Amino acid sequence: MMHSFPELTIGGVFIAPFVIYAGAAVAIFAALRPFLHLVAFDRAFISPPIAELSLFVVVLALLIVLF
Amino acid sequence: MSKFAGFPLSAWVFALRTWAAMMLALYVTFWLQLENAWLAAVTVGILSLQTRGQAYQKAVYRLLATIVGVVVSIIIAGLFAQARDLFVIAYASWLGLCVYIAGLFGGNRAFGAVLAGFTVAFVAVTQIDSPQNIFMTGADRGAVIMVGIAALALVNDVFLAPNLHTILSAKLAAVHQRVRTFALAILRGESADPIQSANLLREITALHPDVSALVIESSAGGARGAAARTASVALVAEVSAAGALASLPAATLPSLRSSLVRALANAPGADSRALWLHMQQHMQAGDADAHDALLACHALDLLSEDQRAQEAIEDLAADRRPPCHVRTPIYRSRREAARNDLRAFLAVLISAILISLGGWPSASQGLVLVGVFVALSAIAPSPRMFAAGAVVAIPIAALLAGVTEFLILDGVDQFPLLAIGMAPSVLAAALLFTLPNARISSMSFLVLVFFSLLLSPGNPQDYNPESYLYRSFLIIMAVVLVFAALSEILPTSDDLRRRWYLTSTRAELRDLLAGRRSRHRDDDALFRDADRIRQLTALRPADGDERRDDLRQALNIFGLAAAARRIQTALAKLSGRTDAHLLGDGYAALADYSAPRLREAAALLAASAATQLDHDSQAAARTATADLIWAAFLIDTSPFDLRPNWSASP
Repeated sequence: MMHSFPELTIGGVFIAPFVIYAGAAVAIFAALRPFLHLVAFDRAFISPPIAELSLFVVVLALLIVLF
Repeated sequence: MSKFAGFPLSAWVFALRTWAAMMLALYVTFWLQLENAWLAAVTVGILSLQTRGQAYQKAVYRLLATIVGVVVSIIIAGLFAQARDLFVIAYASWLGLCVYIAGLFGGNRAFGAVLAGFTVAFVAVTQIDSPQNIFMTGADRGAVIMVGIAALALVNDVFLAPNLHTILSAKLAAVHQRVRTFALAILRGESADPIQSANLLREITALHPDVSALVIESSAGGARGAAARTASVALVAEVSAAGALASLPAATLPSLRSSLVRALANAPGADSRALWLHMQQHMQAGDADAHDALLACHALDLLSEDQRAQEAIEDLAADRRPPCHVRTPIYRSRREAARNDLRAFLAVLISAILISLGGWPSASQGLVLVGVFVALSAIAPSPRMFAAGAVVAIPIAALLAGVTEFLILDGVDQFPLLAIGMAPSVLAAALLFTLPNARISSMSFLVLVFFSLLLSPGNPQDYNPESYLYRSFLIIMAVVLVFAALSEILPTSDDLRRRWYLTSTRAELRDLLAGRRSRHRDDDALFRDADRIRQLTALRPADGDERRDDLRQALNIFGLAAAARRIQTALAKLSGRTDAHLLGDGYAALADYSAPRLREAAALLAASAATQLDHDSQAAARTATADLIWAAFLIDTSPFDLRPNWSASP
């Protein structure tokens, strides 16, 4: 079965599904930050920026696949 | 550090990252077939800063400011689409308002504020003849900017751009070492020039934009930002304590001074406990010489602030949040912001009249560019110098764009060739941007951004010499207009700024002495005062003032205000624990600005503390007593009349 993507409409203006997914991923990632600091996520990787970027991509991909 | 062609390797890596991000952004916008692909390259140029934290912070403000700008564009176009004159007045007013708001902030926040102003120019003014397209233009602009931000973030992460926190940690440690050296020189009895204090305060407060950018850099950014703020405040307080020690006679308590020198030179720690007790005994001794008690009091401050700074720098390295929360507000002159606001409004309005009199096609583009330069100049340290730099940088950018488009690329339509063709100009501008010389760095930034704008890479590229020449003519005309406007319309001289800063210093001292405390905590207020001194140090000395009496006067008030705040905090702690009239005497002596009354209040409080107070209250009473005597000492010894009525003469 084809996976349909939700389209948000604000005042008659269609917002692309990817924008909604990306916005939600940013919000989830921002909410995760205190938890990441608590578990010392930064210190668990040689390159924390790439690890954080990868985590963001995982969150975004999960949102796209699940919703 | 190894160099190549005169630039360190880190500068080359930065330049290559900028070029790679710019090309990635262009490729994606071409692939997505977005309009205005050049804006993605411009976005990368604007956001291209050397550390990840700075770039991310600027990107966030760019995105938020674009959203605000697009919304305001729709409102202005909706209200004034049929009335051109009102449309231009509304745009000039909005730009002026944004410049005013930018004047109240610093760093990337100020950039965000002016960006919200000139976004209206790009979105609404360019569509002045077709307001129905404003929403689409705004949405397209937002999409292209998002692509630029994403490309830069990806390249910065993948190619390991330096982390701001490691660089800031090293800078704070270096400043801490210089503060210690300054304090050691004072304790050894070497003459200390107050200007040295001002320079150290400038170094510490100049790190504020970097400190505020830490939060966004990573998940540990919140804790790191808090640690860096605490370190900054502690360093300012340490400089203040060292400055206070410098005011006391060099012969005071030589044994204590040498013990302090040893403790500071070896970094104070657990073994300095005996020294702390020794200093507290000096403060408690009722019959002690006033200078001895003052020295002990400020030495105690010096040691505790040094230790706090050391611990905060260690917290920053270990991603720990320090126990107490500080905000580090900065000082901004509302008068200066209002004058900048009025100047931006008038400059845009006058330019609009001149441009419309010209009767050229697409004249609105010229007005857009005037708005951009006026807004950017408002956040530069010297708007006129910025405009003068732009008069040189923009023709260079136009020349580079012309050479790239018509000599290097010359009709090609393959993306790899575009990337190779743009490389020399982008790399050169990015390399020069890394130089410590502020003027060259500012001009290189303009070249980097306006080269992409003038080249206007598109898919397909039109290679139209007429449109290139017209774009170049409009942008050079705009920058010359802005330079003339900034030279003639309400220029702000350093003397005027100095007068505003000193007047505000005195007015705030008057309020403080009268018991009207600011909304900031003591530490934060001290940092804000230090930031005002930083801005004073940046001004050219007044004619015949080689000694920098303005700075000396500001430093005197800085010390007196710090003492007044501590007295009020200590007296507030004692409220309800001791006789109200004793506390009232202390407040009244401060409000009277009377050294004998301050000493009298101190003596009464000390006598009362010895007989009536419990252990905790005695500590607060000791602090209040020492600071009352210190305030009296400052009033007596200051060569300036620090009374709140205006007087600058020693």
